[in-house]
Amino acid sequence: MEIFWDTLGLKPTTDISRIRKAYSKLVKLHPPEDNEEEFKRINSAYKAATKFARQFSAMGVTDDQIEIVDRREDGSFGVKILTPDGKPFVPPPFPLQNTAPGQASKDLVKQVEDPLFDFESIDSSVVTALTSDELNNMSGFISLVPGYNVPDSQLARQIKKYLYEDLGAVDTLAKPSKPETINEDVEKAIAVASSILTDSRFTGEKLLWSVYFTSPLVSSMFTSLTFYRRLEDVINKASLEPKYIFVIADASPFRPRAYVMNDKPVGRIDFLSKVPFRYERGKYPELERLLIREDPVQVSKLMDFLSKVPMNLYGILMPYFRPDIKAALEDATFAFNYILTSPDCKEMKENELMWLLFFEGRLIKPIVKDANLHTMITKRTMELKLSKAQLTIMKNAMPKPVKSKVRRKKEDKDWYYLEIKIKEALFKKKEVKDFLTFLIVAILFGIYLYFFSPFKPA
Amino acid sequence: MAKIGIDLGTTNSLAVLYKDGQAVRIINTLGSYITPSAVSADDDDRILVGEAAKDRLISHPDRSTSEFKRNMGLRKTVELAGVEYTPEELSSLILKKLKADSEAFLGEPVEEAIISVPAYFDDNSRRATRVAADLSGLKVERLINEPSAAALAYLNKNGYEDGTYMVVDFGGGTLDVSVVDVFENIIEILAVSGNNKLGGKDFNEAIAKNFCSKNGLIYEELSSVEKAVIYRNAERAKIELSQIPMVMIEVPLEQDKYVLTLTNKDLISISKDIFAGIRDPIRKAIHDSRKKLEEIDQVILVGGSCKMPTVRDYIRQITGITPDTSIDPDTAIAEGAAIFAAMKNKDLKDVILTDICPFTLGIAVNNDILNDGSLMMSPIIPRNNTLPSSIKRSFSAVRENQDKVNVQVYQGENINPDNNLYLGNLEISCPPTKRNAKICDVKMTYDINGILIVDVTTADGQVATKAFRSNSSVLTDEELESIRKKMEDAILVSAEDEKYKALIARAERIYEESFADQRQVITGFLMNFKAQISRGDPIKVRETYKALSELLDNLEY
Repeated sequence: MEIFWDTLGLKPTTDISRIRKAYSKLVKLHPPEDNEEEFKRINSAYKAATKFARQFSAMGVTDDQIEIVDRREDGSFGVKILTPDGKPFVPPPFPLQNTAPGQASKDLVKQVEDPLFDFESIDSSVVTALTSDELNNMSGFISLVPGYNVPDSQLARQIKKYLYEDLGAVDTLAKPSKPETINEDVEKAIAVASSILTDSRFTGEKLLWSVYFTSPLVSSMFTSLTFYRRLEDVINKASLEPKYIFVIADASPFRPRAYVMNDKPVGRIDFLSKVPFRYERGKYPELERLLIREDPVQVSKLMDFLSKVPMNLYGILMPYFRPDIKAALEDATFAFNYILTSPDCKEMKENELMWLLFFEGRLIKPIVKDANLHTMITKRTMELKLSKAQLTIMKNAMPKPVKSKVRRKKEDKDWYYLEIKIKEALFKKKEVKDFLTFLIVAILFGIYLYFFSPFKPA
Repeated sequence: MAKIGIDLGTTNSLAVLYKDGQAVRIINTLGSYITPSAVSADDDDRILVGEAAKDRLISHPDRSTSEFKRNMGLRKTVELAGVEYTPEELSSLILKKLKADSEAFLGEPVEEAIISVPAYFDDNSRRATRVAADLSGLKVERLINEPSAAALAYLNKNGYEDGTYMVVDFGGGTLDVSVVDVFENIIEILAVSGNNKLGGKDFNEAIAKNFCSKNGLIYEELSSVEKAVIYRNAERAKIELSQIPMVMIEVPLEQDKYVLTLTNKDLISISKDIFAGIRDPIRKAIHDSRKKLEEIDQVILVGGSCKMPTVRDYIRQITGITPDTSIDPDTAIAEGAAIFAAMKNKDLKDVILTDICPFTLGIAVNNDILNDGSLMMSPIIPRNNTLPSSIKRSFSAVRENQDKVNVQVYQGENINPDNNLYLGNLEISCPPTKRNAKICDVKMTYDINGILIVDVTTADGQVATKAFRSNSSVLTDEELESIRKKMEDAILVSAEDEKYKALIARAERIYEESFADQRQVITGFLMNFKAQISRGDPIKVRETYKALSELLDNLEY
């Protein structure tokens, strides 16, 4: 089956202008008015090629470095990036250097001479410059629900509707909190929680609570003790059924336990009992969430490391809402390559906590069961010839999928596939091979000695 | 046979022909290329269209109407001289006049046209536009989105230079924003956003309301004539503010004279909501195009309201880009439509325009969590998808042994189908299917002519297809025929007569706006003119016509 470059009559390329030239030539031969099917085919090839080119040209890949591998019947294929000296390809830090959000447009506004609009005197809520920051934020909350691996389920839609229409909470939750408004924001978040608690339809809905806890507002506030104390108060006052309390506790990023006494839940949720306080609080809020149960020595090592690496890697672990799984997967690939190949990460490659962090990171967690991610990781680990220790660490850190009793799902299959691959990889290690060869030779020699030796004992 | 481009606007309409690399504006019988989108019935129940009708909005507000484009596709009728007219019928009168003017100007029959519509027009409004064209006897193969037309006009003038453009089309009644990528003579519309209930009219209203509140009048309690006079003055003040820093609005009502001075800064502060309304579509369009604000090379402004310096400055400030206003904001869209007509005729071969569908199309599905019988929207073709597009999705049964599927097709962004536009439904029976098992595939195809085709395929291979054709309207053929008959019965004022009618309407309008001493003079001249017309002496008529129009010119400026 042909792939998009074939449709455009091109070799694999990262040069957008070449793609556009080819597309333009084809479209002029088949304008949309004349042949709709043909145009649809050309247009979708053009879009795919452009997307590929954007991604890889940003990494500095040139045309002759791309090689298509593993062409399949369904039109999918793999791409191998060749480097001149045969070394593994190291992608540049991710994401590529950007100006701070909003900065560029604000500068532009300054250049405007003699403005009619006096931004200071007129209601600033109406007359403010558009910033890139703002544009990027728009997709945040809207895409939250699809990020949870339930892109189009009834439940996801139901929850969306509830948050958008019944509660009108979207505006409240969609913006991250700022230090100067933290007190108001705590109240807002608590108000939303109270509404959810009083609506019998949704109190026990885990997905809704996950959305709540991971919304930009709440996740940006979770270093606030006030917020969690208030939340505990509200939950305890609501006198919920125990099963609901478990649901909320499960959804919370702090992984707290609902207290159980004599097999009866007492309905208290202690979010804070295990949060370590010895770090500079708020510096890496996302880490604090992840590391509550870990070894402090390793944690401080990791903290040191993260303070040195470019912010980019840290960005992977932060709340990072992308419109779809594919985009998240792209970012995950970047991060994975970076950790494995960048000299910055030399030590950290073998740090178990690092891998735990990677797989638990907000970006990767929702897609960790995605078969493509597994395939990507397997391929990459084999390419890079990792040490046994490292592979074991990675394997341990990778979350185990839930085994379904009824029927084995596709993800499970992929998981087993991965395990086998990792075992194969272990087996193929040179040392192992050499050792086996040695063993066989030794045995053969022994046999030879035993049967044919001139020194055969009498 | 010529194929023209028509901009059927909220306030003004015009037609353009693109011929031999030149855009030719069609001049109407009154010598102007702009025909106001207004319809009025005169004292003999004959129908007036254009300038004369616009003037009669003030002198005879009960027998005149305009801005019906805002109601296109809605069942809102207007009564003129005892006959109910729908928005599409009124629009067909405008189109009929444009067609007649074009034929007279070009000296050849005009039967085909490309009509521009706001990108944010929903399916019903687009259907209504096609019905209007049908009633006026014009063959309309395709509608073009206004911002796409504006981009075409701009690019045709500036040589299709590669880059990313944002086109802001802010007209009398609608706002459209689109982001356009141009390369290798291909014009790719990336995203469209807009508000079809926001326009220059809202500024007029804001000024009029501000005028009343400052002068202690209550806008809602004024008579329709008084409202119209204030409104007209507000509009004039808005236009004058484009040239001079401060204007004075003077309105004579009964014996009193009311005055208000207005500067651009006042205008900004009284119309905050309008500016906020401009900002949102701009933001949404940039966001949808997946471009950064910094990647936009040029902002192009078209539409009458973009002549306002406040609007230009506002867009300049929020985007940080000084907008390009080099093309005529009034005619750009019609020119674009004409260029598109030429492209379709293969007169302009190497330019291709790829457009998008600005709406999400989907079907209503059962809400199986609550199971309370409520419905949710399941999108199939997402918004801003390149046309033509076709996408297939599978759906499962909601009941045990379900043996029937009812596919309800909606257009819109809301999760609740009730808040979206209902397009129609499709029923098909199928073999009994277990709950939650796959019951059917739904394939939606939206082609470049705005025809939506829905295919439902059941498990046993049965296929049901329904086309939601924009050109076969909600009306049946008989209904269409009866409307056509009704429109033929409406007697239009002849071209010769029209000039005189227009002058009388203008005189009557100025009379309403004037003070007592001026009124006497106008009455004298007007009565004289009317008397000459009824006597039918062509030379005398021409003399008095000239005298009256000179008088009015002096009074008005």
